[in-house]
Amino acid sequence: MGFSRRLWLGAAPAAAAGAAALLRPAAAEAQVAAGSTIDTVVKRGTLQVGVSLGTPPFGITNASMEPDGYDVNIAKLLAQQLGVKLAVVDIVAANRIPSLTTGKVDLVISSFSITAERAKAIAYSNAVYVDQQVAIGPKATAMPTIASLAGKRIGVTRSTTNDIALTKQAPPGTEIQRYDDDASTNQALLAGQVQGIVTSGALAAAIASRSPALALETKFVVSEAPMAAGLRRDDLEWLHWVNTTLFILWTNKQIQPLQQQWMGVVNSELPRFG
Amino acid sequence: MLSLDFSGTLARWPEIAWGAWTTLWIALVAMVGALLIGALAAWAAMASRRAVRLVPQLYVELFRNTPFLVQMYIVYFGLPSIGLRLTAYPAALLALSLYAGAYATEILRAGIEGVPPGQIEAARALGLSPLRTLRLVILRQALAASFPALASQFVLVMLASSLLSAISVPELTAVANNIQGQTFRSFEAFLVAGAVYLALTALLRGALGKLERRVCAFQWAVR
Amino acid sequence: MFQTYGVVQAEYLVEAMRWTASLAAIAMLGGAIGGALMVVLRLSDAMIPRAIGGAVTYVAQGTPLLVQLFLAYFGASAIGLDVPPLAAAAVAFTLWASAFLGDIWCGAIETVPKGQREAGLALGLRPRQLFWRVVLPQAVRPAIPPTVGFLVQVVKNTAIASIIGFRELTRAGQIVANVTFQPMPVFLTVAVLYFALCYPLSLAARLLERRLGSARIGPITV
Repeated sequence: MGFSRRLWLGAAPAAAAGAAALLRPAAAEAQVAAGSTIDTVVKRGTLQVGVSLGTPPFGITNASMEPDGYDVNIAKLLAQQLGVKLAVVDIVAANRIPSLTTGKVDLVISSFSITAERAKAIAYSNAVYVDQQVAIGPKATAMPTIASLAGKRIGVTRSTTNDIALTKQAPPGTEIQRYDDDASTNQALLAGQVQGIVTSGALAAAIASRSPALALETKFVVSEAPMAAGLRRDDLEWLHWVNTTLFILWTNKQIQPLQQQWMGVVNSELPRFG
Repeated sequence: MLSLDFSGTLARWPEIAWGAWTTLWIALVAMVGALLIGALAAWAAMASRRAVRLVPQLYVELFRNTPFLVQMYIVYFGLPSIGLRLTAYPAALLALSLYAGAYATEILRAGIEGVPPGQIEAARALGLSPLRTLRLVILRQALAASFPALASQFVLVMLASSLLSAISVPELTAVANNIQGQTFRSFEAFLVAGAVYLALTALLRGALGKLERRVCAFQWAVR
Repeated sequence: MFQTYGVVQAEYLVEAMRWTASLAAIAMLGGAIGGALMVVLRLSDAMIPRAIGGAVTYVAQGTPLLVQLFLAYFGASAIGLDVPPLAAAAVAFTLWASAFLGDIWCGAIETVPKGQREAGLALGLRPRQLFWRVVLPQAVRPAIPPTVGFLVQVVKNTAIASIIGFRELTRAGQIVANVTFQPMPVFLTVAVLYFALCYPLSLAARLLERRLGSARIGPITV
């Protein structure tokens, strides 16, 4: 039975019978969990991680229709270190913060760029991957610099770091088309509905390799952003454990092969700040 | 427990106004398209040959028994892969017109068939040509009969346009979505959007009510 | 990582239909209970229940279902409730369906001829008896066709839940289209599957309308 089936078979009776449980304010739940998420997770036997499964190569559904991708595999490593099972919760980008603050997941690893704005609402772990926001498009379309975007239709996923970076830097006359999720943004590029998109560098490499007919290439870097796991703000013990484990995994060279496999590039260093 | 902060959302009222305007004109153009398609299809649906009748029947059944969202995805994401690329606005208008056109077809057909045959016979007996019969007797009464249903359809089309946000059309829902993504105040953004939609609906219904009184004036006189 | 559209993917789509059906069932059942409540509110003699019923109906029919869905989904987070997409969708769809079904059923009740009410009162029936024994039984038959017709709307509108990530048929289609890069065959399959669900219901509604009377009731449920 794949992750998906187990997930749904578990979710259906939980949703049906959990009406009363749902009404219990998550604030109380978070208070109980604060400082003891590690214990809660170990006792539960499962680590619940939120990942967007429509965002290759960070979160995808593989050929067996199971969650896979860079973020999912990092989550697997963390669950392994804690000695529990992993439960992947498919979330959309817009719900990354709410799913943490309401206690729906213990951790969010979903191409989660570190921004000061978000850091007010949640806590970031040390970096899991350093990504760049790049513009990609067909070879035939000339887009050497950001100024060249004027007069072009450029796609981006609504409210992501890509969106914020593009909106801030795009020259007037750029037609910015915003889509609800990465799946739609990618489809728009492949369908030729936009002449280029701004997305994460890793994703750009993945799309380009899959559609040789379009001859996609990375045009230029818009900005750089380290990505990290998101945790609840008041949960310092949990944050410390995650940071320690990430350090161990990096030093033992367990993260680097994943980066190579999924992104095609390995960071020279994962910035640590916490 | 609940702390609402509307300041971020309300500060961006120009964007919201623009989104509302986009919603309105898209609904209008789509409705015109739907009426054209509907009139054509309704006419074909009353043809004597069964083969001709089958085409509008198929069209109506297909577009009324599948979700508009899926139809939209097919037009915007699917068609380019087989060579027909429509950008966001044309794709949106096409998909919305086709969807609403299926309902308009049925409404118009019911309206036309509702004209009492006696009226048509009387018109012919009075020496009116087929074209004048159509124009003065059939269409006027069909339109009057269909008007309420068509007006409802118009409102529904405007509400359905909120789904166009998924293919990047910057209408009202898309604007609210953009705002909430940057202010993190989702509830407030969509409350404001909802209020604007209510205002638009009220506006539309009012305008259509006035229009009905003008177009169907003779109906009131008869009653 | 990326696949070609084939039987495995098609099976994944078919499996997702069970979630479409589940949400539709929840919406219909919840909506039926809520709809009955709405009828009680709107037919009440007191002003406040009537106002509440009217307001809920006005809002539900005057705003897009997508906005109602976003409000349920994000609003729950705003007040600290833990809400998975299915729960948010269930709440939003139930409220929406309640408003529309309440409207349809009120319309059905209004088609019962006034003469029946007057005759009942003349025969000395109390208002409560009048409602349960005279009006309601006669309102059931004309209520059935538009209710079945509304079920078609419910099934179609479950597609909207895909936008908040609920993994029903449309979302499954997006996922498959994204890994296969073949949107046309994928979304055509999705459309066919919805058609298979909705067309029989539409036929049933039309058949019932012919058999049970075709009074145009409530808003044109499209």
